[in-house]
Amino acid sequence: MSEPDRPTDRRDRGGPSQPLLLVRGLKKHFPAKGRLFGGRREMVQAVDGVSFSLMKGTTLGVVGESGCGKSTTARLLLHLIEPDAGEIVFDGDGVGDPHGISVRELRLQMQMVFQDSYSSLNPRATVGDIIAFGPRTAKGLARQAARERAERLLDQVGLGPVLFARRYPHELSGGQRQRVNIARALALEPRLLILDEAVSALDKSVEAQILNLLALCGASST
Amino acid sequence: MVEIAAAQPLLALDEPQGAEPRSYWTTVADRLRRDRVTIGVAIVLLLIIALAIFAPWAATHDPLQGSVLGRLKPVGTPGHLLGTDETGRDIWSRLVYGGRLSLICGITPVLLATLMGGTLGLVAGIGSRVINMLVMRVVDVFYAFPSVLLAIAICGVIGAGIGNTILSLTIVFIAPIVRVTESLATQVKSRDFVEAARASAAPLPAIIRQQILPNVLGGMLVYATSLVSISIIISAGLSFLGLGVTPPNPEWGLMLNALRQAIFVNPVVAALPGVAILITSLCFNLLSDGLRSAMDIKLPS
Repeated sequence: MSEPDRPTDRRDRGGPSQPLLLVRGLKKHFPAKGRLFGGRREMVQAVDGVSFSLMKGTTLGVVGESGCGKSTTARLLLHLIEPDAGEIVFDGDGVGDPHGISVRELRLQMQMVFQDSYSSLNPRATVGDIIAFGPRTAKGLARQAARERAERLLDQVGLGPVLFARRYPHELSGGQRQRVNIARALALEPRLLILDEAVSALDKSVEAQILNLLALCGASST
Repeated sequence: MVEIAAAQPLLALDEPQGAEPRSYWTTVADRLRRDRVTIGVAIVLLLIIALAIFAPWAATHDPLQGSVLGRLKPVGTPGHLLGTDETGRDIWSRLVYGGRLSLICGITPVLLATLMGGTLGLVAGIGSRVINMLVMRVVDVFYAFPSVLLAIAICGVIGAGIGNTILSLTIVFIAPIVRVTESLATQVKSRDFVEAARASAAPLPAIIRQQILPNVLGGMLVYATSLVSISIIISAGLSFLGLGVTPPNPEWGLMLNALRQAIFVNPVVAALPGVAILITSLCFNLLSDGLRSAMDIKLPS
């Protein structure tokens, strides 16, 4: 995602004609369970040579059957797992490149909404703390400022901060939890939002609400 | 766009909005309060601990003062409610004072081992594969010995005494606590919310402190509580063998040993220190069980 209505983002470097994200030959092979001694180890080619480019203000959808590597690709993009090969260029800056940006800087601009809304929320933290965690630790925001941002975001995703900020994930429904996930992803004000089947675990009516919410946020999915 | 705008009001009122939010520990406390067995066990434990702390007031006699004439009196003797031991000392008073040493030997090693083993386990669980291998294989060496045997061996080398008992038990308990913590940390580390925290560009110490640690502590607490009972039994065993507390100090394991010779003369009195050990360790075990079920909150009750 990038905001079409915000062309003058301070962080914008290459202008509208430069792709926001350029991926070339992304590759990840996992060793499969195999023989312990001897023999060639079988490899699962989870992601094998993925290349695409994403222009600013546009959306890219990735389609495929389950287990075909969509989630792995998303995790590779954020460097949550290290790619074996391939190149990720974010707005002209190669990730991990000496002249480019670090993984940390990349993550500050690119966020992800996870598929499983329950396991992606810390069960011991309140909703407010979950959303404020990123801004507080990664951006060094003061406690008060981070809390205010969390409350604003909760409001934005349709959860009243007075009611929800002090709740725990297990006290929320699936749809409410996915909203918290979206709020958490938006908390770092990313320029690119990855949605890893963000609505696949929800029933149809809640799914529609979440999709509307994402459309409202100006977001769309990869 | 019109459709989106029309759908928006739905967002605010889609799901029912429940009661006042409660913190995790409030919920746990609430569940514990409704668990009769755990409450009962906790009361018994508090009573035992209070008796030990206030031993000078709870005891009816000097625990070290014997009497040549009043030896091995049966339970219910006037003046000696629980009888007397082989040198005529009051059993009740010795049990009350002995609780001090037995509880210290039960709780201190577990506390120390939880601190050290917990740290090691977290490092092993979160660290790289090489660090994990190093820590866990060293721990395996200690784990290979039966715990009682290891405690006896260590105490035999460094000598008897309460300080050495605590030290040897601490060493014994570090290995299992490292294992439990490591497996908990490894599990938590692979959960999505830790990945989400990493994706938010947060530094590692913040992730450990705020995401991993709170999710590991509960399991560690339950396990440590269950170790207290084992610790009491092993330290009593060490004293029984003469490797722990030295006579004439009252300690349950030592009393059991001293009264052993009286088992045919006065079996009830001879069994009393054992009963004290049994009740205390059973209570810690039940407390651990109660804590575990109270902290296992998956869904709101």
